[in-house]
Amino acid sequence: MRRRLPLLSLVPFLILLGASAARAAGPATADRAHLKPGAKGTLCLGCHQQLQETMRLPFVHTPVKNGDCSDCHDPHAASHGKLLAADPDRICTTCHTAILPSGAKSEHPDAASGKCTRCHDPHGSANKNLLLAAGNALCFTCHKDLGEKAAGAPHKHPPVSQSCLTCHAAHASADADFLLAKRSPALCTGCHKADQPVFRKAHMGYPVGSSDCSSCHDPHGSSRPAILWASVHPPVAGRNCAQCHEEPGSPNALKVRKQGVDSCRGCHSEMIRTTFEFNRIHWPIADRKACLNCHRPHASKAGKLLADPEIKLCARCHAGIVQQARTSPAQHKPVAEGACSLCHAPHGSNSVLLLTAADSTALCETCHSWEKHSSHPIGPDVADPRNRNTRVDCLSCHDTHGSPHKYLTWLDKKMDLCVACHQDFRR
Amino acid sequence: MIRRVLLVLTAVLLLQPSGAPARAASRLKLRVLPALYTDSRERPLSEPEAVAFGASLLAVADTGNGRIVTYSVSPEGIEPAGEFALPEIPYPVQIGVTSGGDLLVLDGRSRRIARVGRTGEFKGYLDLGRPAAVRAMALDRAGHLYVLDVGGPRILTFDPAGKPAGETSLPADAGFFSDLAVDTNGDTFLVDSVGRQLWVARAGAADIVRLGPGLEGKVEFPTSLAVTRTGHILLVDQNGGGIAILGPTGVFEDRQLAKGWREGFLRDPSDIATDGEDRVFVADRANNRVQVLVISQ
Repeated sequence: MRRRLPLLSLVPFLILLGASAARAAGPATADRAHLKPGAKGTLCLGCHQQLQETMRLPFVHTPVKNGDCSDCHDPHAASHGKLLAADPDRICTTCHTAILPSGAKSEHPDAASGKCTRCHDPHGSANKNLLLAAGNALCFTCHKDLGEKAAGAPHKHPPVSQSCLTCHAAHASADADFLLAKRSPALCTGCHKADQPVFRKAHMGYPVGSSDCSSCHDPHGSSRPAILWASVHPPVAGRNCAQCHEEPGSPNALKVRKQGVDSCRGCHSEMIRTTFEFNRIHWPIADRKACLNCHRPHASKAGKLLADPEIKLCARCHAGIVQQARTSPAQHKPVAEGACSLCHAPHGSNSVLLLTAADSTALCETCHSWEKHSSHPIGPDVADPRNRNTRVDCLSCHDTHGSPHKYLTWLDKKMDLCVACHQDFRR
Repeated sequence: MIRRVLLVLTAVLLLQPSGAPARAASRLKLRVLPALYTDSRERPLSEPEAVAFGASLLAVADTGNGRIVTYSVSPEGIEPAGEFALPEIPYPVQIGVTSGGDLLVLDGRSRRIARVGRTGEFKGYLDLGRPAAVRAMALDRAGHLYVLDVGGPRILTFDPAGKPAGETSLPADAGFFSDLAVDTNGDTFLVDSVGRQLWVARAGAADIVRLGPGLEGKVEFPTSLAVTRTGHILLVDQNGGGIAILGPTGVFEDRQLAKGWREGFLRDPSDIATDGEDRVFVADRANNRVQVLVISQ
């Protein structure tokens, strides 16, 4: 008995705590405001007269329509801006709980972060679903480049001009990337029937009905016929699929005739021969996927059939160094522009780190004329006092990828950099 | 009452697993010894890419000079033993020392493994029996050679006479394997540079499995590894310029050394080896030297 008493005495406290937590977590209810009879729906509009205009819009948020302002706002005081009764990034999902399916393959960043008002007006709108703008115009306010490209493309994909939502979900996709309603090819074959003669003819009789359509086609429109990506592998453009694949009528028509780098050697023999004569190769070339580690075999958005823009591609493996480079306050221009291959040879090189020149000074010199630099001596005759086997070169002071310090120096120029070597001057 | 509390505390202490204090005590520290800068003729090393130890010999692939430099290692110290360049190995990038004192050297240009006597006599190329893209190699105590063939992708094993003794496929869900090492139990450890993950093929097991949690946030781009006599794993972080110390179960314990020029600092380190006791050798590539460290606990 003596032991149970303290526990029992906690019960009322816990009930009060629960009630208070529930109030803190979600928006307020109309009852909580204890409004005078007849005040609901009219009291707030007395001051907030612009809302009367909103009320006349074709689409009005249900709580607004019902005069339940205190569903979202606290009439007296709040911890959030606009007297919101809960965190603005969470308040919508207290009612709209099923916006994001759990374990979604892709999510719209604004939906995932609760920035609902970037697309929706919380009070009312002329557009269905309280959208800030109608149709694609809303999407293209952020995805401006895509909108301009789609509008200007000589070869258009009709659903793009109809509605982005033909292919994409607005908030999340349960099992596809890029908010697609379904994965390719299931999404595409909804309209483009793979068993139709016209489809088979367009694909030279190859059974591509189960392949990823976006490996060749740009779904948003293109400058090329058949909305092929901007950069097309010549055998694809020339409809010579059998150059790499088995014959279309064969049992394994999509199988490539040769594996790995041998598949590309037939046309790119000189480049491959030269690459394998270097002292160092970029190792992905030597594995089973070989060239396809970085290049797409059919068509690509990026030049040289790269699977991604260069820096994004390099970051697939060298994530750490790209992250450091791109988040540094001082960035090396080629890194900022995503041109890793300006300094590193992507296939092979005779130099360490696959540098495109024999040494770092020679490499830097291709852009920076160091004779005009400063008077600090550098070169093979200038010993580095920190290490008797190294000489003073550009990298003695500068970090090539990015740095917290101006001029990409390793250390703060004013204090630490110089005295790292000139220790007599250390204070 | 006090007596009861003391009794409970004593019982708790007695019930502690005996391994716990031992694990705490087994944390490794690396102490820096004088580095190796030159060969026996005081010619400086240049971009040394690989180091290996065996038969009291430290072998260094002095890649920038296109030669091999050797040092004799004894409890008293490390002395330059010899150096040689061979036309058959113009660009040595990996090295191993057999129990008999021969050197196995991977040439970057021809991508073939050469067998060389310790004083430089070329004994021929190893016949791998099939095309292979050799990224790294390791020798076990019994003299078996393990070749990391990223083209396979697989580990090829050869007996001490050089005859094929098996192969193990590399897991398809890994990033890119850069190096492997074999411990005294015959377990093969691999480092996945891209996935930042350690893997292991236990002796006699058919599969290669993950060892420990991933190392994201702990290392930037690990490219080489060595196993100490206590089973700890030393991981060279090439881009991060440091050495990560992992426990025998692959759990990250510590990170030592940092980017820099002076001894005890690393720039683009590319390989690591131990002498089977407490000495550790690191190919400190951009610093043109081999750093020597000693393990203390």
